[in-house]
Amino acid sequence: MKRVLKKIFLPCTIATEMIEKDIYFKLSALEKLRLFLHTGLCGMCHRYQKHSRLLHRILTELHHEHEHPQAPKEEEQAALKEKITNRLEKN
Amino acid sequence: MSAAKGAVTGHHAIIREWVQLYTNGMYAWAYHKTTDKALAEDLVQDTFLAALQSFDKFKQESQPKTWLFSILNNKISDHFRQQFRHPVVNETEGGLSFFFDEEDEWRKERRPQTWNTTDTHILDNPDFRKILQHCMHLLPGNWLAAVKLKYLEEKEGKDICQDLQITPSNFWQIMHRAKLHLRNCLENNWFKK
Repeated sequence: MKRVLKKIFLPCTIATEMIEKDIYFKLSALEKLRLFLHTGLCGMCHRYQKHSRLLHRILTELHHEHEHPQAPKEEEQAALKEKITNRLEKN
Repeated sequence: MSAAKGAVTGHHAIIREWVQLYTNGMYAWAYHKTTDKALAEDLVQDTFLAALQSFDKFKQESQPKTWLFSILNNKISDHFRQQFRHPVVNETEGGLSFFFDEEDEWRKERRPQTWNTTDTHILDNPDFRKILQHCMHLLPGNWLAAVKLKYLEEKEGKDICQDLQITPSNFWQIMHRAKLHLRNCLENNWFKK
């Protein structure tokens, strides 16, 4: 029975893979239905799906924020400017 | 002095001025994207060299800062593309068997737990950011590169596949494994606290 259910409702390895596919590509209607049924029955994959979406949001925000880039220290700034200027002179 | 030589000297002078004006912002940006000081420095240096070499392409009506940042962003993306093409993946650690048993079900010790988070501004927490960076840097280089390329460039999955010359299934399998590890690391180091 368990094996039959697994075949119908996907193993967790495939279900979690489809969760990612759903984020980056589109799932077919059948895939959507199978994933919906699986996450309805599997609390762990349901949690994984929630976490994966949260991670997606965090990573999207992290890489597109422009307000908080870490400022380099003053001595680092000066040294880097000098290094670049010297390299430019050689070109 | 010939006209051509005079123009080159002029270009040098302009770029030197830009070095003084924009290095700090560019370094901060490159560091923010790569979280690697030495790499950020190299990328900024390479950007100014590229700017010098292609100075003739710079359109005077555009802002130097915008032009320099577009070169820098290309350099950052090129770096991740290159990192992606030279993978070092330990299959034992990266394999699905780390998370799932022979029945393809979650291993007991790796099952996702409930995260107590309602914090919508979690990135404002510097401690969380440190943990996130730590967890990201534990990923194999090519996975990290794929993650960064996806989120740096705001590209659709199919465009990234074209860019990296991989199939869509390759791409989402990489993202799948990367996210499994990232999720697990964040759970153990942050959300379980």
